[in-house]
Amino acid sequence: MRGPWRFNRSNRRPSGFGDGRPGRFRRRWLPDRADTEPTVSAGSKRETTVARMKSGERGTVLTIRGGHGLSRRLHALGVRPGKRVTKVGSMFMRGPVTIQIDNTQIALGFGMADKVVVELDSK
Amino acid sequence: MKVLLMGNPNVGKSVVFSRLTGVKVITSNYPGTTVGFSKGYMKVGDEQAEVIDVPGTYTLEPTCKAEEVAAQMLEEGNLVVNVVDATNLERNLYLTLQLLERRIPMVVCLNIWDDTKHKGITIDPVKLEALLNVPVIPTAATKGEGIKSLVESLSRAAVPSDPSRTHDERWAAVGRIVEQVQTIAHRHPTWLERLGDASMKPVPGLLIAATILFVSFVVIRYIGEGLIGYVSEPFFEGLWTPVMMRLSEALGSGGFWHDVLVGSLIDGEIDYGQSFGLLTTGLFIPFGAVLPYVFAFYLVLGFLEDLGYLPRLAVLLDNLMHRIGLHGYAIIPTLLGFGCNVPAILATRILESRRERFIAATLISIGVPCAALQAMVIGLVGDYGIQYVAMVYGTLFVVWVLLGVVLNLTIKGFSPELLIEIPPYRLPPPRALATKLWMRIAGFLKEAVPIVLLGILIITLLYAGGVFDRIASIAAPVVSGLLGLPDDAASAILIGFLRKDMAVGMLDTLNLTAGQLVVGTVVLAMFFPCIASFVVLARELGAKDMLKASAIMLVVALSVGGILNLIL
Repeated sequence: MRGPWRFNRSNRRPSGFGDGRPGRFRRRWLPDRADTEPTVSAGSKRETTVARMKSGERGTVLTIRGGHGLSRRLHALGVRPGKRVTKVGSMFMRGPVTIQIDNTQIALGFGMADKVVVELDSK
Repeated sequence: MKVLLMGNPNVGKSVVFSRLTGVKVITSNYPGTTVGFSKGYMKVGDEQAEVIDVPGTYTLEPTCKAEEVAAQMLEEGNLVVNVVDATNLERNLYLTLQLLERRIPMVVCLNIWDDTKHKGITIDPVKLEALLNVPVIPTAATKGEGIKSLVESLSRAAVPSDPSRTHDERWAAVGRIVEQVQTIAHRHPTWLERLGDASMKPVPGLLIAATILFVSFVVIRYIGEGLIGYVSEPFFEGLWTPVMMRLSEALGSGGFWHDVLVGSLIDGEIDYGQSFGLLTTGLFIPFGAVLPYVFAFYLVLGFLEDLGYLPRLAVLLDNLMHRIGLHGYAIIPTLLGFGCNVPAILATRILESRRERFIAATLISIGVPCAALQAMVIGLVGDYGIQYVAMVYGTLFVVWVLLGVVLNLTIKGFSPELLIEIPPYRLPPPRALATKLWMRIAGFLKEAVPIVLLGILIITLLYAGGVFDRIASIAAPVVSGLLGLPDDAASAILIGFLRKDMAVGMLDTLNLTAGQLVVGTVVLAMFFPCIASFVVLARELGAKDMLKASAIMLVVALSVGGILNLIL
């Protein structure tokens, strides 16, 4: 899905325990939660993360998968459950992801972006 | 009485501050422009009040050094002016409620009001005032609109009676307020917004970045060289030289005062590069050689800052910056460093961790030449050919990257992920650009001129006292043995501690080969920081880390100089 470098890169900046900061002692033999495919639940509701949305797609923030610290920082910037979110773009090789919420554009690292779970609008 | 200007980053607090107090401060279109605090005074009623421009913060729970400063300052305030971005009401109100819960008299300044209209946002300030129970004043600070009402409202600042809320309760309250006061109409994106979105995508983003950087270089060079060629050199050669020659004759073409003021005559003529008198070289270096480039650089930087481009560059370079232990936002202090390392090191406060600040500050001190140094490098090394200038820049860049990689691998810790707000592109108002440019130039002259003059005086005295000869003989093994430079270059490197532009000027008097000049300037650029950056480095990093950084600089400068000497 994301090219042959996918498995190497997932460990380059490993995600930690939810504060958006990579930890030093992560269980590296387990696949990152971030690497699981977006879950498709019954019906037309599609759940994914802002990291995996395509540019221009819209959705609604469901939850932030992560610790208190990360949630608070994101909340302060306006990334909160229930907010409408539009993906503006992302840089290649798991670079930062840019999203728009209300009138604010926010750029966040791929790891953080993969913790922001959204429900995609049905087309 | 202390009035605090508080609010989210990049809502225009500094602009409001300038309007209220008349004190000029640097303002830009990116979050984190203000990292320290500025003070000014204004009248509130009959009372003289101290106004403080506090660094922006999203919440009162700080996540970086600049936000810590903000949270601490709140303890001392008697009145808070909460500056709010009217185009981002919901997010901004969170901090507003947090501030209200502290029960300090408060006024809300609903700034960027002028932008709400074309963004399709309608806010009812009267209703908002009723809901918040404190005065709410719409303003457009960049245009000066609403500032008068803001000043008048300060005397009726109300003490709020909000209960303490939990995090979730606060957001719920924000939601209720926004629902009642704001309506948003749909509208089509403007061309600036389309351009803004394009810079956040990889391919257009890279193209835009390449274009902007290329145009910046061309413009800086064109303006810098143009000013030197058509303004500063004609002025010095045509108008100043005759005055100096007359002074030289009046002083009897020699003697102590002649040497101090005019310097030594080269073949009976004044040579601004070689004479080293207070009134000749001492004035020519800051005004004639460096000022044109400082002007050109800050003109371009100011434009990019106010346009809102810098955070976009940060996003684009984030991946690369992680390899040297930083995240993309560190590019902002780094870019500032090409003007002057002092504000650059201060600006590292926008980075979250101590580790990042250490890496960023060390890399800036070693690998980022300031405008003054660059002007001399382009002027003097450029005489030998552009390839030598490229060698200097190339070496510095390689060192910057390699050292960053090494620091990243050796210093314990991690580089946090990027999380920043991307401001909308805004067309910079010319007046604001001019003010900022003037402030920076005045700052440069105030810093540079006295130190250059002092330096020239010291050089003259030390030469006369024979101190330089002694230094040269002590440093000979390193300077000539390792770096392959004449012994006298030791004095130049030593003088580099005062000001690097002057030191390059001294190197130029030694009749070096092009290769030696490259070695000399590279070592000068990386070796110790100049005294001004040294002081800031010590203050920002603390004594221990500053010594560590200095040790790294010494080792790296000497080894790179040695290697270059072998290659060239």
